[in-house]
Amino acid sequence: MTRLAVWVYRALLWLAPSDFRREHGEEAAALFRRSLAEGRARRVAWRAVRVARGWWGVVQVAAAEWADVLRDHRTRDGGWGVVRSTSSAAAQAVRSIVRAPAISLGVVALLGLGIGATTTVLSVVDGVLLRPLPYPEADRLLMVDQGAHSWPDFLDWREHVSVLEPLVAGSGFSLTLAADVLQDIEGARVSAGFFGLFGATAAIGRLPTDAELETMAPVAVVSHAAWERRWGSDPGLVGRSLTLNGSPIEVVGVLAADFVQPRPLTGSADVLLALDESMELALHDRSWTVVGRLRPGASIDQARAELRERAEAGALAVPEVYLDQRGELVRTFPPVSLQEAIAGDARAPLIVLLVGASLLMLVAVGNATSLMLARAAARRGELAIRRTLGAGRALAGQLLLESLILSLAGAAVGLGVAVGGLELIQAFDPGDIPRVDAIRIDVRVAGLAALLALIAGLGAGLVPAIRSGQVGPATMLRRAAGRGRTAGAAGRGLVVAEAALASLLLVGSMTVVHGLRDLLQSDPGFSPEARWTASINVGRDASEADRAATAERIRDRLATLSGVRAVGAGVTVPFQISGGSRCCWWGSLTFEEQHIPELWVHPVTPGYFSAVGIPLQAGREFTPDDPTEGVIPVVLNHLARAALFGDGDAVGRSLQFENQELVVAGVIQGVQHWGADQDIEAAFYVPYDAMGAWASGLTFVLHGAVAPQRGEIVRAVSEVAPGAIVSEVGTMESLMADSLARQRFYTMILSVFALVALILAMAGLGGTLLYDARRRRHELGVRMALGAPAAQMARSVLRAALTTVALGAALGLIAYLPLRRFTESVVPGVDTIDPAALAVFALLLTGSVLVASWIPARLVAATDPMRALRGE
Amino acid sequence: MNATDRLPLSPRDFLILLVLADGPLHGWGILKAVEDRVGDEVALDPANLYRSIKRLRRDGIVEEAAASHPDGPAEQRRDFGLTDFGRAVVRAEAARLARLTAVARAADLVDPLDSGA
Repeated sequence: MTRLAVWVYRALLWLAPSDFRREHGEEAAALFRRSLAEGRARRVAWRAVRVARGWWGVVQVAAAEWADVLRDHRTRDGGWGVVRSTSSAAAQAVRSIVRAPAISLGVVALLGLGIGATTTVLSVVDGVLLRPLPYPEADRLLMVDQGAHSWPDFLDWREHVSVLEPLVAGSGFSLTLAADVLQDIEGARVSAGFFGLFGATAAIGRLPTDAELETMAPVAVVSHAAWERRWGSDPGLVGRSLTLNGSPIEVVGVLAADFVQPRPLTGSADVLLALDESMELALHDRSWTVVGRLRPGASIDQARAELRERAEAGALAVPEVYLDQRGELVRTFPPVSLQEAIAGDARAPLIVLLVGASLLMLVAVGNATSLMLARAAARRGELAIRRTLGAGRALAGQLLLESLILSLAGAAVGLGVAVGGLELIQAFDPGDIPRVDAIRIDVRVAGLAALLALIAGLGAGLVPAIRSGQVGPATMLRRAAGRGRTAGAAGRGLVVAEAALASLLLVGSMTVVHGLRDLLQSDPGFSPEARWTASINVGRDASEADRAATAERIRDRLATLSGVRAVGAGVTVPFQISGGSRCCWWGSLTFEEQHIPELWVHPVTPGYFSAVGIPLQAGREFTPDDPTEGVIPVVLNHLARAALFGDGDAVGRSLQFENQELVVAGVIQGVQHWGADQDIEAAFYVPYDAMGAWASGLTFVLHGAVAPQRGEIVRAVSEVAPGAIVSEVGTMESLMADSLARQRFYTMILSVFALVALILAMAGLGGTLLYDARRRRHELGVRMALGAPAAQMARSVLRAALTTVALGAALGLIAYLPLRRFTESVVPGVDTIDPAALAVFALLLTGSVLVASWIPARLVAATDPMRALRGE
Repeated sequence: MNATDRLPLSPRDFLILLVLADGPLHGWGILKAVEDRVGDEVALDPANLYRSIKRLRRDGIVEEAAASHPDGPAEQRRDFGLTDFGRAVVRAEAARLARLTAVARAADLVDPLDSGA
């Protein structure tokens, strides 16, 4: 950010006269940079103050130096010769800006706010959607879509798909790191070719070679962030051996700090390493993400055709995986560009935010314009006199120049706002804005901010300039004397426009807020109250039988904690995985002729359904006595039941799952497993000990009257299972709230935009009314002298304000109608205007209007007719 | 020109002259020295610092001195020092402030523990 601050500083220096700039400009900029560089370790607020003080200092000095220049000229040639020169127009402009500090600061702040909001969102859009991924030939990287893939799938494609070269696979896995205590860390397994394809380099040491990755050598590379955070940037880490999942792995290097991990493949892994022999089972999980680079000259269609061929070949070998019951191919592996895959769901809501920021910007520019109009009006006398003296065209030039200088200052402020806004967004990131850490305000965006400012400034300056040019000097002088009749039409029109834009934003954000509240209150299919969760790893290098036994011991022990009424565990529990993701296991079920190809499989322990609070519709839940071999009991959700049996009975029926015989033990009402914003999907539950112990990570759910303490859980677990690791402890309710983090985040930003727009619009209204009241003082005086009661006149001000805003609000609502479907990308299911939201909106708007017109109305009511008529 | 004609000095000018009384300094040195003495009490930003130096040089109070880091970065390349007249001015200003402080002290407005005198 220092570079940007210095860049703006240098730009601002151009406001100063050339002799100051030549003599001291370079030194001042260097000094500014040095003072920021020295304060690098300081807090953001300190640096922001330093930057703001520096920038403001240049503006002050520029004004003061120009004043000096002007004074020097005047004493030298004794008068007005200089006024006609070009440089004096700038001096005049700066002087007149400095002479009205309140209005100037107001204009700068308003433009800054609008430009800042737009620049922030633009930077995010640029970073997330537009800028190419930081990998070599990134535009030719394709991800093989349609869920995740198994390792054999990948090997098959690597052999047969010729247009993607190289083809690599990766998948995130949690690892157990044995240090002083056992720790869970994020790891990723990658195939040969990974580091080359993504252009990774090592900061120290080296990267695993393709030969090592191919032969499953026990070597690993550590991410730069993990190296700093976990190992305190210790260069001695390279060459050291870590115990990961019980086996020694040598760290051969640390990844470069600027390497951005491809999230779909590796998540944000601390350690990247090859596969090893212990992963035989994980190879068949469909958890691998595959990316390849399109050969030069090849098209995405060719890649699509070759992958479809692989799916057809697969359908011949294992039809139950690839075909639905009508015999149609359900898995075709369409390739998508990696860029699009990463931007994914963030695209639509970001565009909504961009529209929101642009509306805010328009409101701010409108407001700045009305301030400039008011200012021009206040200076009518001065302008009229100068016009009569022959200033003519130069006058319009000066007005434009003034707004140009103001808008440049606004751009500087806007950049500051954007820097702060971006830090806020990065701090509040709900975790699924892709590439959020890599977002920067770069020169292009800064340039765009300057351009926006220029357009805004010209817009704000043009109206007063044109008006000053249109009206003859005589009229202007007459108006200056307070008698002509200027219709406040321009000001009124601006208020209507501002109210319309603000209403548009308000209604949009209120609809979204309302939808979010509905989602939070929607019935997920179970009751999240009084349920606590603990993620526990039951032994990553243990055998499946040991894991199952450990899980059973932990379950029994946790059930004895005071106040606990039910305990159960699942590989995943509802809301644990959200934001549109799914995880872990899906497969097909067959009942006689019915074949359902894609169902979610949830391995759970006995007690799971009562612990989570999922009611059974029929049958029973799992018990510790259920068989672990032979025919395994299974629980279906209502969608799976309906798909297999229609309206018929399910309990007791036999099913086929790949090569496993199952019997239906129970049926539950389906739950929103993947987050409150996701639909309920067909799924079935299998016993963890019989079919699920390939996974060592379990999430235990405790239902009870008293919240168990983390320490209590950790102690209880260590008593019965010393090797188990307790990681996160939380509540079911917080999981549910977190699953809406993204919607909340976008809703929050949109609401802030809407509120700021409302405040700006109301400030604009108040200002216009005040200006109106001043302007009409003479007329008001006459009317009061003729006997109009004060209260009635105050009411007329209120009435005018309300009708103006009501007109704007109506326009805003009409504009919202065709746009309303976009709000659905922020929070699903809200494509209508809610009547309650509309009522709140009307109340809010009326209240704001009353507040904004309070002072002007009082002013009118307090007019003293005698003094008004005397023109005091 | 008489040294007292230039009084009173602005707080900013006075501080710059004070730190230069110990010997010539470059821009960065002045900024650091001022910060060391008064912290953030008197806001001194680069542009205003150089505007002050420009005016003080015009008035013959400050002059460019022999450079201590002629090949250094821009903010250290030029040194500025007090002229004899400048020294007289800063002395006169200090005396004026001392007289004022004495008046304040007589009126019992200065906390003796706080004055640092």
